[in-house]
Amino acid sequence: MSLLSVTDLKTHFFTDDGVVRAVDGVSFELARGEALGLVGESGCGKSMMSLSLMRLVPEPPGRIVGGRVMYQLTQSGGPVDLLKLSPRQMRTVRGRRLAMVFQEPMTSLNPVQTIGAQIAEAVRLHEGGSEAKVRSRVVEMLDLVGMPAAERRADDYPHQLSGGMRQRAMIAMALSCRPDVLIADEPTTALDVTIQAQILELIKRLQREMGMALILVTHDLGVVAEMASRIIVMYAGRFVEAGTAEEIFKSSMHPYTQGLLAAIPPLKRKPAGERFATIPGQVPNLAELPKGCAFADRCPKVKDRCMQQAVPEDPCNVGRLVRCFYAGR
Amino acid sequence: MEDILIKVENLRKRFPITGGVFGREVAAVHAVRGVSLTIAKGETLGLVGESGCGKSTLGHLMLRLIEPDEGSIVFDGRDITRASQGEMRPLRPRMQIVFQDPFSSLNPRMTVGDIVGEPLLVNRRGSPSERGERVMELLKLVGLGPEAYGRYPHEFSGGQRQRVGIARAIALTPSLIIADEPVSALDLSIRGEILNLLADLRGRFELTYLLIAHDLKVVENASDRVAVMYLGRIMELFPAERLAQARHPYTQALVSAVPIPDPAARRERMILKGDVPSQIAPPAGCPFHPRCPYAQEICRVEEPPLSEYMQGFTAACHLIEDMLRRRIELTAPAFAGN
Repeated sequence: MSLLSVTDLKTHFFTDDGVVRAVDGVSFELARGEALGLVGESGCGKSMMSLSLMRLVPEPPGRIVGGRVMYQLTQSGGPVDLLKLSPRQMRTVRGRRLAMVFQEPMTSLNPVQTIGAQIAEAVRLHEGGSEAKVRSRVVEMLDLVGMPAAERRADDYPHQLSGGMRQRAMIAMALSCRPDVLIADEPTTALDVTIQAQILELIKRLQREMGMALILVTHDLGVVAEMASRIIVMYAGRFVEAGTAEEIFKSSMHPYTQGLLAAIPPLKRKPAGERFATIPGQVPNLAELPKGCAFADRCPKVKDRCMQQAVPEDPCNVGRLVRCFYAGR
Repeated sequence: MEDILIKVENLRKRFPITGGVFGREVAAVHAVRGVSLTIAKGETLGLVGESGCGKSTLGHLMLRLIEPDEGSIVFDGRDITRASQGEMRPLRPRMQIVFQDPFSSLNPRMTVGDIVGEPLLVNRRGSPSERGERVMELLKLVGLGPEAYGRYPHEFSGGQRQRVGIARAIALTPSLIIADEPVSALDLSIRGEILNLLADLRGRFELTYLLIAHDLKVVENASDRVAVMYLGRIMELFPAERLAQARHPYTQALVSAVPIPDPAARRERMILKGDVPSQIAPPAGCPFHPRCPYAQEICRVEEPPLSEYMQGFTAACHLIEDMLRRRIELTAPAFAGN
């Protein structure tokens, strides 16, 4: 039974230049404890999808215009559509059952509050208890995320911490109420590579220890290979391919996925004269999506049909999907 | 002995931090702490390191955009360490820079044509129509069409803006280009385009590059030699194609930190403890010792010199011989455990 079941989720932005279809009908399932990687480049809608799950879409100009986000709120009851909850009901879910870690810890943390105070806020809201209890949980969480001198650091302000420590503070905040699902939106992109390795190890460990499901949103295929057992590739607001990590890396079917994989610097250095693989062109304007396949103008395998007809998702198998007329052919 | 285009020796640069009522120097950011390097004509030297290692400052020093506190810079046989602005002026066209952020390195109020043509204008190259023609030529060289001329930066994608930055950099036919994180701000699928462009231009115009990046993979694939920098010093220098044989503990940690795009790959990760250190209070001895899993007493007190330990490989590490022969023991856990 799925913990989270998303069906045909659509989030559009209503701007002066037209309607930007940031998330244009995406569906997926997430099981308890599962690690799902959502991969895509800038402008594909992956961040907006995470914000949609959390119902944090800036409104206006954005709005979730369709779909269902079915969540297993209670053990015994049936799944509940998060999109239908009142704002007050959603507040009991957000941070408590579904939590999020953002990319830029410096801009996501409140600069005028100590990190201890910010973590305490979440604990107080969702769990209550005496100030002493709240404080003790704050320090416990900072310890859990490997913050050195946790007791002392709790009284530091974000600007007094390094990038890696700020990210740990954000993770502590997100996990303070032991959520079922952690959505990590590019959690390590702004960090140095040796710190990135630390943070990824931390997230993996905590996920294991807490039996938490993880949705890891990133543009980095290396990161997703390390962290996720299932991967979804997103392009221009839609899912273009989904499968297990093994399937995506070893037998990808969508030309965009293949292009992305080819663009990763290989493990072994490429021969000196050889050119870097790239995908020509650029992502389409989400306010002016073409009639047919959004990837058609960049696709090496494009045919006439691709430009004319909208491409449906082709669910080849349970958990495996590809949005391409000519996948694997 | 190949022709050396630029040689720096024992460069040092610190930025004072003033405070108090009298604005006295209370501390300093020690950005570059004794760097010696050469770059041969036609070579691409990759300079890799994490934030705060001083790589950008080193690039700026090489171009004499800032003046070193100590050390020397010799460009094409000429000592430019203390050259005045007037003395630098005729040399500047030969040394150019491409910046990281294609969004903030182009003046949003200038058209692409004006941006690319500005170096020509400032250096009084040719008549207005000759400059216009040259700009068209440059736009074509970087893969942009003539219609780009009258457009503004915000009308272009990140990759295209970076091309504009490159067109501007080659406008005066330089010999040396410092590419300071040229692809970090770009999507993965676009990076290759820019790296290919830089390689094409190098072949065509006999350019020499200092390629600065924090991404080891980019540097490995786009450079001839790689220099690894940490806290203002060079830790190791080696041929790019032989990265796998580099033995400095920090280089190995960098390699280990790169996520492998293969879900089946299982490996021992060397995950460093602690944070990237502060340039304000660098430790004594080897700059890396606080995080080095192999650190010994000598590392804490004595600064290791850069010396050759294998043909083509130089490293600043007291224990490099032991690292080479793998007869070294961990003195601290290599795995952070969290």
